[in-house]
Order: sequence, then structure tokens, then C-alpha cells
Amino acid sequence: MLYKVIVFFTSATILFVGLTYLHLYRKKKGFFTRKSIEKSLELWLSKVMLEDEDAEKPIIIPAKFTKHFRNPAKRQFAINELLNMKRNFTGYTGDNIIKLYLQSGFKKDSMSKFRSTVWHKKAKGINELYVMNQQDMIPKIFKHTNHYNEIVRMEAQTAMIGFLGFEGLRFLDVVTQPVSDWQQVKILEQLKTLDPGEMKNIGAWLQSPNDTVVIFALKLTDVYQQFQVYDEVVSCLAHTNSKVRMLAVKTLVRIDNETTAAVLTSQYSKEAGVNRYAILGAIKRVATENEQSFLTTQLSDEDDLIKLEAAKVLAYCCVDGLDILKQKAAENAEPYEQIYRHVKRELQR
Amino acid sequence: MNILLIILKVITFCILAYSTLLFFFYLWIGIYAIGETRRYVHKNGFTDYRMLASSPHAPSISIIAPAYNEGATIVENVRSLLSIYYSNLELIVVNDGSKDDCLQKLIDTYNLEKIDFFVRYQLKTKTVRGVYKSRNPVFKKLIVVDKENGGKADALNVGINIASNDFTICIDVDCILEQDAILKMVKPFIEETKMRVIASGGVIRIANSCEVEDGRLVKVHLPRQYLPRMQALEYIRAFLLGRMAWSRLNGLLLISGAFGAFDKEIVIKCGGYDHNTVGEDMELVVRMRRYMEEQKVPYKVTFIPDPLCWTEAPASYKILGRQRNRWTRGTYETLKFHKKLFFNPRYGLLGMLSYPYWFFFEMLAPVIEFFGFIVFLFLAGFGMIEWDTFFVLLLFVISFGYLYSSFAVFMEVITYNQYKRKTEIASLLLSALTEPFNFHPFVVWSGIQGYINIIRKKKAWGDMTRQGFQKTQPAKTA
Repeated sequence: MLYKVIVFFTSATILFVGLTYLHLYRKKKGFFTRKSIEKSLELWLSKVMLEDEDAEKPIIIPAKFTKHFRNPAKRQFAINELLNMKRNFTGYTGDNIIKLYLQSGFKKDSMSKFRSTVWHKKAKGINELYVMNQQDMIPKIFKHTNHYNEIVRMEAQTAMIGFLGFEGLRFLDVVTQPVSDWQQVKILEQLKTLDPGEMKNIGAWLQSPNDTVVIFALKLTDVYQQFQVYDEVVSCLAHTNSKVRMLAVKTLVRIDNETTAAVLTSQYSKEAGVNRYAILGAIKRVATENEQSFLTTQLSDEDDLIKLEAAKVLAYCCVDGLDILKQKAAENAEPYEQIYRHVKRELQR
Repeated sequence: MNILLIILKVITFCILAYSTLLFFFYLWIGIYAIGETRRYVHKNGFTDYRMLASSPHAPSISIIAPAYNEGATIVENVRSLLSIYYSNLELIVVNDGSKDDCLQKLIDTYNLEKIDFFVRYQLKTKTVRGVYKSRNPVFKKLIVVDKENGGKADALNVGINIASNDFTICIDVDCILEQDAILKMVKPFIEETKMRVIASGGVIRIANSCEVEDGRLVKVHLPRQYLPRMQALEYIRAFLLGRMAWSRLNGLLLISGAFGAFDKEIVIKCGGYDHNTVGEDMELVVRMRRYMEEQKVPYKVTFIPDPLCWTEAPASYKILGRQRNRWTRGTYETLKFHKKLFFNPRYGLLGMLSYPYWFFFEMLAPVIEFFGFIVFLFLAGFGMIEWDTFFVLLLFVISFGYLYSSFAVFMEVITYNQYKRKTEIASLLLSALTEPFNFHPFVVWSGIQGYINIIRKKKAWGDMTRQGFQKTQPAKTA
């Protein structure tokens, strides 16, 4: 029995060594094949893209490329080249790229991937369709914005923004699956260059049963200063999710009014740990002389970080804040002497 | 004589059972790692890391690099770290009471001035003598901390106390990071939605014989020397197979001290690095996991298979022996501190699988192998070996080792393929053939020496003299 196992192990070892070298060979061969068509394809594509011809007139695909496109690997390579170009061009050139994509029958490839049950193929299909601005696919792709697979879901959500801009955020009305922080960063970057207009549903998103939607809505409120949802943001301070409360604090000071400082000092007593740091960090933007007594009390907190954060706000927002710190340092040298010097240095910067 | 025979039979049976179990574990690791790596590679295809680097919404990171007597290379190392492109970043270099001119060199090169800085001793450490920042706004990300000597764990704790950002990345200052290393390390923390990611690790690769220019890796080569080459193979096996499999199971106990990212809040709640062990990297991860289990908060320790960090491996038997000796002591101390976890169902997978695996197959492995060898010598001396069976078993073990190594090399080639030349792959595979007769016995012996040190209560870290990286020669002009 053991002899058989040894023979099996030895054969499998030889097989893996063989596969390793086969892979290296295929990789090298693939590299040279790609190189061989890359240059001529790029040259031809650039020429076609920049031609200022009649939009209705079909693009003539040279015979050598038609032959290349029969090979699935080369076909995918050509699709990837077009996708890269489309990401860098808009306007007439961008339209030409789409025209070529459609004329070469590449949309069928993308559709076939989109219909696949394998998650990464499906996601790739969505990616290709939205980069190539295939607007007829919006209803079908929208259905995938709440897909159980996170990558498919993310690509579908990204596609909706790609197609519709801020309007594409409507998936937030229905999404029950989580929207990760990563996806939120991605969408915020995607939206950066677009005009937000009026975000009609933001109030509803702030009350969503999906915590990640609330978090994202708070970020949108912060970035695009949506003053109209001030009350909804205040309501988020009572949310059960600590992360939502912390973000609500940060958002509130970005859309503040005369009551914000009082709201935050009142919230302070209900919080603990990092959320308290967050409140002290945020209140710096809105605190006035009215908060002096609250801040002076926090100077005596047993947590050194609270002392430091309170000292910073005091020095920054109250006229005689630095004098209070100096006096405190004179009365009780440590740690107030160091805190005073630290804050003074920061103020001088 | 009968009793002796029975004892020997029992011992032989136990060793066989142990080996069989270990064999199945390796088999599982190999197979289980495939899925995780495939998933990662596919997922990565949809990721634009550049977007994260420039985004103001990206999480804030503090890199902590402890330095002790690194005067010869510190300026270049810091320059390399400062060149990392990430917007929400601060770099904290902790001078752990160096006896050389490490601090002065930093002050002179980066135009540093001592500033008034209130140090919050959230983690108890040796006294901070001063905090320095540059007068030059170009180096505004840099903070240099000078402290009394207290060891690597203490220096890292000081860095955590000083850090103002949410996540900390602890690294060895002489490591070379890939340009996108920070981006890739941060992503797991912000993409997970169901549980809290408390720590994340990345693949460490061997930089010996690689070409380095201005603190950056410009060309990868397989180490030319035997020992570093063996370690290159060992690291591929450990990182690409072992850690990926454990990561998929969420059972990872170790994130390399050379490069690991942590959730600062949890690190502080756990009490930071423990300076009573030489295995502070593993100990911290075990303590963080234990804390999360006790708090009943869903959590994850992730691992990413990208080669992110390059380090110089010991090239001499003397230095390698010291390193493995220390690793054995570190594992022993960590598992001893947390013996409560051993087969404790309260700690779930951590108590029932991860800890026992490390106990039996990492900590005890050198002891059992060495003991097995002694028993073998004894049996051979008394003519009690059935040589036919012995050679078949020996072949079985060796052929499985070769299979595992060739599979690891195959995985490396189809995923990240760092060694592009066929001759390098051949050299790697040929090195694997020598492993059972040279490298592996030496590693086992170093482990045994680690145990001897434990018995003698020796706690020294062991000097890790490095040779330095190979620098590219500037092109000669005609």
C-alpha cells in the first residue's frame, strides 16, 4: 500500500514540476503573442479613434484582426485594450471606441459573462458593459445592486453611478446587503467630479434599516453639506450602532447651526471611549464660550486623552482658554504642564 | 525485556500517529489554500488601489518602525518609507535608545527639532526622552521618538502611544515595502462588513541577492546562497499555503513582526506588545484574538498573499540558528501565557483547533522529531529495526515533502511568479531535494537549542547581523 502511495507522490511531484514549466512556457508564449498584436492593434485603434468621420459609417476592421478575434484569449485582450482606452477618453473618441466595441461583437462576450453564474465572470461582464456605456442594460444591472456576492454587487453599484451619476444612488433605497467602507470610498471618489444637485432621498437613507446605508448617507451629508437633513442627523445620535453615532457627530459639525454645540455636549454624557474622543475632536469646530464650563470639567477626567482633547478645544475656542490651562498647570504640574506646552505649540503652528 | 518492547511499540505507534495526523494537516492546508488564493486573485482584478491612495476618505494609518543601532542604514530606510504614496499617513520612527549615531543622523538629515509633545502612556513603556518633527514641511509625515532602551516590544508600544491614527502598521525598519503595500494591507479593514478585522498580515519575501536602489527593490532574484534560497522556499510554503489556509478558516495565530497591520483600539485594549517574550508578534495576535473571543465580538484576522515586504534572511548557520532558536522560545512562551485556550471550547476555533495545532505541530515538532531520531538510534543500535519498513516510511515522508514543495512552487508560479527565470525555478526545486538532509535537520536542532535555552532560562534576543542588500550599480557613461 505504502509503495503505491510513494509512487503516487512521486508522480504528482513530477506532474507539478511539469505543470510549473508548462505554465512558464505558456506565459512566455502568451506574452510574445500579445506583444505581436499589441502594437499593431494599438496603432490601428488610435487611428480609428481619432478619425473624424461620419458617425453612421461603419468602421472597417482589417482582416488580420478579424482572424485574431476568433481566438478567445486575443479577443479578451482586445476588449481589455478598448476598456483601457474608453476609461481615458470621452466625447467623440469615446463614442468611436463604443462603436468599435459593438461592431466587433464584443458586447456579446460581455453579455455572456454577465449571464454567467460564476461571480467573477458576472462582475467582469457588468464592468465591461458599464465602461462601454451600454445604457440598455441599466434595468438588468440595477437588479444586481443587491446581489448576494459582494463583488458582483459592488460592480453593479459602481455601474449605476457610472451610468446615472448621483441619480444612480437610488440603489440605496432598496439595498439590504451591506455597503462596505471600501465601496463607499470608491463611490465617493467616483462622484467627486459630478454635480450633486439635490439629493432628494437622503433623509430616507439616514433612516434606513441598513446601518451601512445610514453610514454612507452621513458621509454624503458631510461631503455635500446637506443642511436640509440636520434633524435626521441629530436623530442618528440615538442610533444603536456606535459607528453611526460617531459619524453623526462628525457630520453634525459640518452642517452645524447655533444649537450644535449644545447637542454634542449633551450627547457626550451618553457616550464612552472613542466616541467621547470623537465628540471632543468634532466640537472644536463649533464650541464657543458657552462650552467653557463643560470643557473645564473634562480637564479633570481620569483619561489623559480626554484631558488633552478638552484642552485643545478650550485653547482653540475660548478667549481665555490658554490662561485656564496655564493656571491648571501651575496648580497641578503633571500632566497639565505637558498638556499646556503641547497645546501651546499646536496653537502656534 | 517484554515491558521495554511494549514501551517501544507504544512510542513507535505514537510517533506514527503523530506523523499521520501531520500529513493530513499538510494535505488539508495545501488544498484549502487554493480556494482562498484564487478568490483573492479574482477579487483583486476589480480593485483600483490608486484611488484609495489619494482619497481623503481612506482610513488613517500610522507606520511604526522601531530602530536600534541602525545608524548605518537608517537615513535610507526612512527615505524609502517616506516615499510610500498614501494620503492619510504618519511615519513614526522609534529610536530605542540606540548606542550609535542613529538619532543624530535622522536629526541632521531630516532637519528635526525637539517639540513639546504630551505622551499619553496608554500602554506602559520606558520613558520617552523626546519627540522630534521636521522643520521642513516636505517631511511633515515623519515623527521621530527617542526613548530609553526597552526592546522591540517596548519601542512598538511607544509608537502606538504616539500614533494618532486609527490603524497601525508595525514594521522592521530595514524591510523594503512594495509601493502599494500599505494600500493592500488597509483594504481588508474597510471591506469587511460582517465582522471586525483586528489584524492583517502580508507575505514576507526574501530579499537576498535582489537589487535595491534608493531603498526600493528594482529587480527580484532568487537568493544565490544556499541558506537564503532554502528560506525563500520555506517562506513560499508557509505564506502562500499555510497562512492562506489558516486565514480562510479565520484561525491565523501569527502575523509576522516584520510587517503587520492592526486595529489600534483593540491593541490598546489588549495592553499592547508584551516585552516578556521574544515572540511578541505572535503573542499579540493570540492576545487580541483571545480578547475578542472573551468580548464575544465577531472578528477576523486576515492575510493577503501578495508579496508586500522584502527582508534579508540569515545567510549563515550561526545567525539562522539564533533566529530559529528565538522562534521556538517565542512560540513556547506565547502558548504558555495562553495555556487557558488549550482545547477550551469557550474560545471556539481558536481554542479547539488553532492553539492545539500550534501546540502539537509547531511547538512540539522539533522535540518529537528529535525524540524520534533518538528512539531510531536506540532501536538501530539494538538491531530492532525492520529496515524494509523503515526505508519505505522514509521514502514516504521524503516523497510527500517533495510533493508539498513542488506544489508550493507551482502555486507561486501561477500566482505571483516572482522568480521569472526557468533556471531560478529549477534551482528552487533542486534546493528542495536537499532539504530533508541538510536544512531541515539543522532547523530541528536549532529548535532543540531553543528548548535548552528555555530550560536554562536564557531570554536573549540574539544578535541578527545582516549583510545588507545588493545595490544596483549606476550605469557607466561612455
